[in-house]
Amino acid sequence: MKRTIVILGLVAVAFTSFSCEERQDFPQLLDVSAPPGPFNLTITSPAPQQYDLAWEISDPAAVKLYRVYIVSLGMPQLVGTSDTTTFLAQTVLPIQGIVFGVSAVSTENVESDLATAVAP
Amino acid sequence: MRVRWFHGWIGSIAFAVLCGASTASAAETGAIIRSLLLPGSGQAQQGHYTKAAIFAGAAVVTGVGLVLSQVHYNQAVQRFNGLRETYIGYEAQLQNDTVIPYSEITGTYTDMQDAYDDSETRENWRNTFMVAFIVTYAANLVDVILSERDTGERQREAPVGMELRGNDIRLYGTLHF
Repeated sequence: MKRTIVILGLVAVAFTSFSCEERQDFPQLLDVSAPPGPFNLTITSPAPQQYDLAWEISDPAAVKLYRVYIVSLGMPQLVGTSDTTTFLAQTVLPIQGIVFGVSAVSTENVESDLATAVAP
Repeated sequence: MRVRWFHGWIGSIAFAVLCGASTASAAETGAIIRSLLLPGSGQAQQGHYTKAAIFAGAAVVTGVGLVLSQVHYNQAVQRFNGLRETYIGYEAQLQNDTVIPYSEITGTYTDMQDAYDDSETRENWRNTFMVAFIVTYAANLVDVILSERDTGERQREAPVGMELRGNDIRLYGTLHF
Protein backbone atom coordinates (compact mmCIF):
# COMPACT_ATOMS: atom_id res chain seq x y z
CA MET A 1 0.00 0.00 0.00
CA LYS A 2 2.79 2.42 0.95
CA ARG A 3 4.63 1.55 -2.23
CA THR A 4 1.49 2.31 -4.24
CA ILE A 5 1.14 5.69 -2.58
CA VAL A 6 4.80 6.52 -3.26
CA ILE A 7 4.46 5.52 -6.95
CA LEU A 8 1.30 7.58 -7.33
CA GLY A 9 2.99 10.53 -5.65
CA LEU A 10 5.91 10.32 -8.07
CA VAL A 11 3.52 10.11 -11.03
CA ALA A 12 1.64 13.16 -9.74
CA VAL A 13 4.89 15.12 -9.30
CA ALA A 14 6.06 14.12 -12.79
CA PHE A 15 2.76 15.16 -14.32
CA THR A 16 2.57 18.51 -12.59
CA SER A 17 6.19 19.22 -13.55
CA PHE A 18 5.05 19.40 -17.19
CA SER A 19 3.91 22.98 -17.01
CA CYS A 20 1.06 23.82 -19.32
CA GLU A 21 2.29 26.27 -21.94
CA GLU A 22 -0.06 29.16 -22.66
CA ARG A 23 -0.72 29.63 -26.36
CA GLN A 24 -0.86 33.28 -27.31
CA ASP A 25 -3.40 34.75 -29.71
CA PHE A 26 -2.81 34.55 -33.43
CA PRO A 27 -1.39 37.93 -34.48
CA GLN A 28 -2.80 40.30 -37.06
CA LEU A 29 -1.34 40.19 -40.54
CA LEU A 30 1.46 42.76 -40.89
CA ASP A 31 0.52 45.71 -43.04
CA VAL A 32 3.30 45.23 -45.59
CA SER A 33 3.00 44.56 -49.28
CA ALA A 34 5.33 42.82 -51.70
CA PRO A 35 7.59 45.39 -53.40
CA PRO A 36 7.82 45.37 -57.17
CA GLY A 37 10.69 43.16 -58.29
CA PRO A 38 13.32 44.19 -60.86
CA PHE A 39 13.14 42.49 -64.24
CA ASN A 40 15.03 42.44 -67.55
CA LEU A 41 18.39 42.49 -65.77
CA THR A 42 21.11 42.91 -68.39
CA ILE A 43 24.86 42.80 -67.84
CA THR A 44 27.50 44.14 -70.15
CA SER A 45 31.23 44.14 -69.64
CA PRO A 46 32.78 47.40 -70.92
CA ALA A 47 36.23 46.40 -69.63
CA PRO A 48 37.84 43.34 -68.05
CA GLN A 49 36.54 42.77 -64.52
CA GLN A 50 33.96 45.53 -64.96
CA TYR A 51 30.28 44.80 -65.22
CA ASP A 52 27.57 47.26 -66.12
CA LEU A 53 24.20 46.19 -64.72
CA ALA A 54 20.85 47.64 -65.82
CA TRP A 55 17.31 46.58 -65.03
CA GLU A 56 13.72 47.72 -65.16
CA ILE A 57 11.08 48.21 -62.51
CA SER A 58 7.31 48.50 -62.85
CA ASP A 59 6.71 51.02 -60.05
CA PRO A 60 9.86 53.08 -59.32
CA ALA A 61 7.99 55.32 -56.86
CA ALA A 62 7.48 52.39 -54.46
CA VAL A 63 11.22 51.63 -54.36
CA LYS A 64 13.65 53.25 -51.94
CA LEU A 65 16.81 51.62 -53.25
CA TYR A 66 18.16 48.57 -55.03
CA ARG A 67 20.53 45.98 -53.63
CA VAL A 68 23.08 44.29 -55.88
CA TYR A 69 24.45 40.85 -55.01
CA ILE A 70 26.95 38.34 -56.38
CA VAL A 71 25.32 34.95 -56.10
CA SER A 72 27.89 32.32 -55.21
CA LEU A 73 26.82 28.71 -54.58
CA GLY A 74 23.24 29.90 -54.19
CA MET A 75 24.17 32.37 -51.42
CA PRO A 76 23.78 36.06 -52.31
CA GLN A 77 26.67 38.30 -51.18
CA LEU A 78 25.81 42.01 -51.06
CA VAL A 79 28.19 44.08 -53.21
CA GLY A 80 26.45 47.42 -53.14
CA THR A 81 23.30 49.50 -53.39
CA SER A 82 21.95 51.84 -56.00
CA ASP A 83 19.30 54.55 -56.09
CA THR A 84 18.85 54.15 -59.84
CA THR A 85 18.26 51.21 -62.15
CA THR A 86 21.96 50.88 -63.06
CA PHE A 87 25.06 49.72 -61.20
CA LEU A 88 28.74 49.41 -62.11
CA ALA A 89 30.39 46.44 -60.45
CA GLN A 90 34.09 45.61 -60.36
CA THR A 91 35.88 42.45 -59.35
CA VAL A 92 39.49 42.13 -58.23
CA LEU A 93 40.04 38.91 -60.18
CA PRO A 94 38.50 37.80 -63.45
CA ILE A 95 35.68 35.36 -62.71
CA GLN A 96 34.06 33.19 -65.37
CA GLY A 97 30.27 32.92 -65.31
CA ILE A 98 29.73 35.34 -62.43
CA VAL A 99 26.07 35.60 -61.39
CA PHE A 100 24.64 38.95 -60.32
CA GLY A 101 21.36 39.46 -58.51
CA VAL A 102 19.35 42.64 -57.97
CA SER A 103 16.50 43.21 -55.52
CA ALA A 104 14.31 46.22 -54.81
CA VAL A 105 13.79 47.57 -51.30
CA SER A 106 10.46 49.30 -50.79
CA THR A 107 9.84 52.43 -48.78
CA GLU A 108 8.62 50.06 -46.02
CA ASN A 109 12.10 48.39 -46.00
CA VAL A 110 10.70 45.19 -47.46
CA GLU A 111 12.99 43.52 -49.99
CA SER A 112 11.75 41.87 -53.16
CA ASP A 113 12.91 38.59 -54.67
CA LEU A 114 16.17 38.62 -56.64
CA ALA A 115 16.37 39.05 -60.37
CA THR A 116 19.49 37.21 -61.51
CA ALA A 117 21.61 37.11 -64.66
CA VAL A 118 24.97 35.64 -65.67
CA ALA A 119 27.70 38.07 -66.71
CA PRO A 120 29.12 37.59 -70.22
CA MET B 1 -14.01 27.51 -18.66
CA ARG B 2 -11.94 24.35 -19.04
CA VAL B 3 -10.74 24.66 -15.47
CA ARG B 4 -14.38 24.89 -14.32
CA TRP B 5 -15.54 21.71 -16.02
CA PHE B 6 -12.41 19.96 -14.83
CA HIS B 7 -13.20 21.00 -11.26
CA GLY B 8 -16.77 19.85 -11.86
CA TRP B 9 -15.54 16.38 -12.71
CA ILE B 10 -13.26 16.27 -9.70
CA GLY B 11 -16.11 17.45 -7.47
CA SER B 12 -18.49 14.82 -8.84
CA ILE B 13 -15.95 12.07 -8.28
CA ALA B 14 -15.21 13.29 -4.76
CA PHE B 15 -18.96 13.44 -4.02
CA ALA B 16 -19.48 9.90 -5.30
CA VAL B 17 -16.56 8.64 -3.24
CA LEU B 18 -17.80 10.35 -0.09
CA CYS B 19 -21.33 8.99 -0.58
CA GLY B 20 -19.99 5.51 -1.23
CA ALA B 21 -17.53 5.58 1.61
CA SER B 22 -20.09 6.85 4.11
CA THR B 23 -22.39 3.87 3.50
CA ALA B 24 -19.73 1.20 3.00
CA SER B 25 -18.26 -1.34 5.37
CA ALA B 26 -14.62 -1.15 6.41
CA ALA B 27 -13.58 -3.66 3.71
CA GLU B 28 -15.51 -1.74 1.06
CA THR B 29 -14.01 1.55 2.23
CA GLY B 30 -10.57 0.00 1.85
CA ALA B 31 -11.43 -1.05 -1.69
CA ILE B 32 -12.71 2.45 -2.50
CA ILE B 33 -9.54 4.04 -1.17
CA ARG B 34 -7.43 1.59 -3.15
CA SER B 35 -9.32 2.38 -6.33
CA LEU B 36 -9.02 6.06 -5.56
CA LEU B 37 -5.24 5.70 -5.45
CA LEU B 38 -4.83 3.18 -8.24
CA PRO B 39 -7.73 2.34 -10.57
CA GLY B 40 -8.47 -1.38 -10.56
CA SER B 41 -6.79 -2.15 -7.23
CA GLY B 42 -10.11 -1.90 -5.35
CA GLN B 43 -11.71 -4.33 -7.78
CA ALA B 44 -8.75 -6.67 -7.27
CA GLN B 45 -9.30 -6.51 -3.51
CA GLN B 46 -12.96 -7.38 -4.07
CA GLY B 47 -11.91 -10.37 -6.16
CA HIS B 48 -13.00 -8.98 -9.53
CA TYR B 49 -9.71 -9.55 -11.30
CA THR B 50 -10.92 -9.12 -14.89
CA LYS B 51 -12.44 -5.74 -14.10
CA ALA B 52 -9.31 -4.83 -12.13
CA ALA B 53 -7.15 -5.55 -15.16
CA ILE B 54 -9.47 -3.59 -17.47
CA PHE B 55 -9.57 -0.52 -15.22
CA ALA B 56 -5.85 -0.59 -14.47
CA GLY B 57 -5.01 -1.02 -18.16
CA ALA B 58 -7.36 1.75 -19.24
CA ALA B 59 -5.96 4.06 -16.56
CA VAL B 60 -2.38 3.38 -17.62
CA VAL B 61 -3.15 3.85 -21.33
CA THR B 62 -5.14 7.05 -20.83
CA GLY B 63 -2.69 8.36 -18.20
CA VAL B 64 0.37 7.81 -20.38
CA GLY B 65 -1.53 9.22 -23.36
CA LEU B 66 -2.44 12.28 -21.33
CA VAL B 67 1.17 12.94 -20.26
CA LEU B 68 2.57 12.41 -23.77
CA SER B 69 -0.11 14.50 -25.45
CA GLN B 70 0.51 17.27 -22.90
CA VAL B 71 4.24 17.21 -23.66
CA HIS B 72 3.57 17.35 -27.42
CA TYR B 73 1.07 20.16 -26.93
CA ASN B 74 3.63 22.15 -24.93
CA GLN B 75 6.22 21.69 -27.68
CA ALA B 76 3.77 22.82 -30.37
CA VAL B 77 2.77 25.88 -28.33
CA GLN B 78 6.41 26.80 -27.71
CA ARG B 79 7.09 26.60 -31.46
CA PHE B 80 4.05 28.76 -32.26
CA ASN B 81 4.89 31.34 -29.59
CA GLY B 82 8.47 31.58 -30.90
CA LEU B 83 7.36 32.11 -34.49
CA ARG B 84 4.77 34.62 -33.31
CA GLU B 85 7.45 36.64 -31.51
CA THR B 86 9.60 36.60 -34.66
CA TYR B 87 6.69 37.68 -36.86
CA ILE B 88 5.58 40.49 -34.56
CA GLY B 89 9.23 41.59 -34.24
CA TYR B 90 9.39 42.25 -37.99
CA GLU B 91 7.24 45.36 -37.57
CA ALA B 92 9.70 47.01 -35.18
CA GLN B 93 12.66 45.94 -37.32
CA LEU B 94 11.12 47.46 -40.45
CA GLN B 95 10.47 50.69 -38.58
CA ASN B 96 14.14 50.71 -37.50
CA ASP B 97 15.27 50.65 -41.17
CA THR B 98 16.19 46.97 -41.12
CA VAL B 99 15.64 45.48 -44.55
CA ILE B 100 13.74 42.18 -44.46
CA PRO B 101 13.02 40.03 -47.51
CA TYR B 102 9.31 39.71 -48.24
CA SER B 103 9.77 35.96 -48.72
CA GLU B 104 11.06 35.71 -45.14
CA ILE B 105 8.00 37.54 -43.76
CA THR B 106 5.53 35.39 -45.69
CA GLY B 107 7.51 32.22 -44.90
CA THR B 108 7.40 32.95 -41.18
CA TYR B 109 3.67 33.67 -41.43
CA THR B 110 3.04 30.31 -43.15
CA ASP B 111 5.16 28.48 -40.56
CA MET B 112 3.27 30.26 -37.78
CA GLN B 113 -0.09 29.21 -39.26
CA ASP B 114 1.11 25.60 -39.49
CA ALA B 115 2.37 25.71 -35.89
CA TYR B 116 -0.97 27.12 -34.71
CA ASP B 117 -2.94 24.38 -36.50
CA ASP B 118 -0.55 21.79 -35.10
CA SER B 119 -1.00 23.09 -31.55
CA GLU B 120 -4.79 22.97 -31.98
CA THR B 121 -4.64 19.34 -33.14
CA ARG B 122 -2.41 18.42 -30.22
CA GLU B 123 -4.68 20.29 -27.81
CA ASN B 124 -7.64 18.22 -29.05
CA TRP B 125 -5.67 15.02 -28.45
CA ARG B 126 -4.70 16.22 -24.97
CA ASN B 127 -8.35 17.01 -24.14
CA THR B 128 -9.49 13.64 -25.51
CA PHE B 129 -7.01 11.80 -23.31
CA MET B 130 -7.95 13.95 -20.33
CA VAL B 131 -11.66 13.13 -20.74
CA ALA B 132 -10.84 9.44 -21.26
CA PHE B 133 -8.70 9.42 -18.12
CA ILE B 134 -11.38 11.15 -16.05
CA VAL B 135 -14.10 8.83 -17.36
CA THR B 136 -11.93 5.78 -16.61
CA TYR B 137 -11.20 7.05 -13.14
CA ALA B 138 -14.85 7.91 -12.43
CA ALA B 139 -16.14 4.59 -13.81
CA ASN B 140 -13.56 2.77 -11.70
CA LEU B 141 -14.78 4.53 -8.55
CA VAL B 142 -18.47 4.09 -9.33
CA ASP B 143 -17.86 0.41 -10.04
CA VAL B 144 -15.95 -0.22 -6.84
CA ILE B 145 -18.65 1.55 -4.82
CA LEU B 146 -21.51 -0.39 -6.43
CA SER B 147 -19.79 -3.78 -6.61
CA GLU B 148 -19.97 -6.35 -3.87
CA ARG B 149 -17.13 -8.51 -2.76
CA ASP B 150 -16.79 -11.72 -4.75
CA THR B 151 -17.11 -14.41 -2.06
CA GLY B 152 -16.84 -17.24 -4.53
CA GLU B 153 -20.21 -18.63 -3.34
CA ARG B 154 -21.80 -18.45 -6.76
CA GLN B 155 -21.57 -21.53 -8.86
CA ARG B 156 -19.79 -20.44 -11.97
CA GLU B 157 -20.14 -21.93 -15.36
CA ALA B 158 -17.05 -23.28 -17.03
CA PRO B 159 -15.47 -20.59 -19.25
CA VAL B 160 -15.72 -22.82 -22.29
CA GLY B 161 -18.36 -25.56 -22.75
CA MET B 162 -19.95 -27.87 -25.22
CA GLU B 163 -23.49 -29.20 -25.42
CA LEU B 164 -25.45 -31.47 -27.70
CA ARG B 165 -28.66 -30.25 -29.23
CA GLY B 166 -30.26 -32.77 -31.55
CA ASN B 167 -27.77 -33.37 -34.30
CA ASP B 168 -25.80 -30.20 -33.50
CA ILE B 169 -22.85 -29.72 -31.21
CA ARG B 170 -22.70 -26.25 -29.75
CA LEU B 171 -19.53 -24.68 -28.38
CA TYR B 172 -19.89 -21.70 -26.09
CA GLY B 173 -17.70 -19.36 -24.07
CA THR B 174 -18.57 -17.42 -20.92
CA LEU B 175 -16.97 -14.25 -19.59
CA HIS B 176 -17.25 -13.34 -15.90
CA PHE B 177 -17.10 -9.73 -14.74
